[in-house]
Amino acid sequence: MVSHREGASPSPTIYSRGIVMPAEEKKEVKGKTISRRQFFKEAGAISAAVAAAAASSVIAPEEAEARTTFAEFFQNNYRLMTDEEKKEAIARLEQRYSEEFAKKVTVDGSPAMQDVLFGYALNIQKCIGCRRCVHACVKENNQSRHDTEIQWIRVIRMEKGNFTVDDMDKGYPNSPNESFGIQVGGNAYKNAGVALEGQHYYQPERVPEKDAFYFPIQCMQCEKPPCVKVCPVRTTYRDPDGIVVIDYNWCIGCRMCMGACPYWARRFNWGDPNLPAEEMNPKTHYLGNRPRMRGVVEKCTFCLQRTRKGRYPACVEVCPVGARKFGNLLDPESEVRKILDRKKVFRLKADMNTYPKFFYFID
Amino acid sequence: MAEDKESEVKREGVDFSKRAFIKTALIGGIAVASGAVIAKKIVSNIPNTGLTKASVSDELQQDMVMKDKEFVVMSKEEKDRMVQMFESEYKYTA
Repeated sequence: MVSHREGASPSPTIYSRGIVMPAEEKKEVKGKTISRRQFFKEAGAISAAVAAAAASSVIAPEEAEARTTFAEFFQNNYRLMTDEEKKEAIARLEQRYSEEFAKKVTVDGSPAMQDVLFGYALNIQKCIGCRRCVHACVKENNQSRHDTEIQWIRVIRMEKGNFTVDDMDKGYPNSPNESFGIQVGGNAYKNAGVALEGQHYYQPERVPEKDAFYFPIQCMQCEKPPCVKVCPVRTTYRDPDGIVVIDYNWCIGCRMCMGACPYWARRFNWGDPNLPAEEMNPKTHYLGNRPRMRGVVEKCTFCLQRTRKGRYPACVEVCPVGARKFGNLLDPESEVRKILDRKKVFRLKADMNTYPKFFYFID
Repeated sequence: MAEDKESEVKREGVDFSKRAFIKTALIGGIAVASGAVIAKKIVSNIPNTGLTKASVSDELQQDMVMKDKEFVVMSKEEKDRMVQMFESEYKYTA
């Protein structure tokens, strides 16, 4: 605001280039004299600020998110929080999710149960490739539904081979004594039993298909998880019950864990997850199926919001052929231990020494 | 004396008073903050067609896992040793 003493004549203004310009025209507002330039400058700034504030309130109606963003941004790593801080963080999230999804959302913070080490076994002979497990998992764990659809379980279709134990001693054709034995990928007559690569996007009319078997892959909850070793901010860690968890609020989205995982079992939220309110599962766990945000990594947690309450994971419950088994590896009477005792069991990439607790078996 | 001071703060047609400074700073601050909010909203609302492609690319990597597969049935000793290791590790870490 510029005011001039009464009676003083306006003097010419000398600008930096040395050109003498005529003095600015003055206007009297509420007893104060201001220049037209000054008036436009202030009016412009005020109207820009008002317009910006109005526009931002129209564009960003996520009041609940805005209220908690600040506190969430400054919260500590979940593992290092005190019980009080954990309660506060959970209460904040419950309030935010309840407002965002317009339903009562609970966020559980249950720690691992005593004397429990979870293990999983999958009967590869029984799996029919229906992918009900995939969809049950998506529904239970609040994964992004479309645009950037995220699935924690992938069922890979593999070609069934016809190599049998009877072919073991047979070698290449036209060899003098046919004694070359088994080669990599079978022998010259038949392949070793499976194609080298699987297909994920198979769309058959019916499953199971003839000449195919199915190989579901998900997080193996390794006993010695390489993803945990590489995390630069220690946001992913192994809980005492053997489940490898992620504190989504602490994740910086560097994707180091994804590169380290030999099973490529982790998923990255490239965009904002697309989770319709009516499809959202309101029973969540802080380290499990609570809604994630853009730029963080997620993966299977053996449905810890269920299993820590004594329930089966969603994929186990939904499997129509009972191919999936789940239990406590420390309990000799559990299903998974009985399978280890009695069935032919193998692990995927056992040579990596990650000690996966996800076992494949055949009868 | 007072006139001198007043003339000093209004030198060259520009108001250097404390009140004018705070006012300008306040308006400037609001404008910058609002501009930042709008810019963020506009940037985050731009549809990125590469997102789905990136996600699919991530998932396809998992198919390649099968390339290095090795189906070796575990022996009884191997299974026992593994369970023993799980139990002792649990006791150690719990």
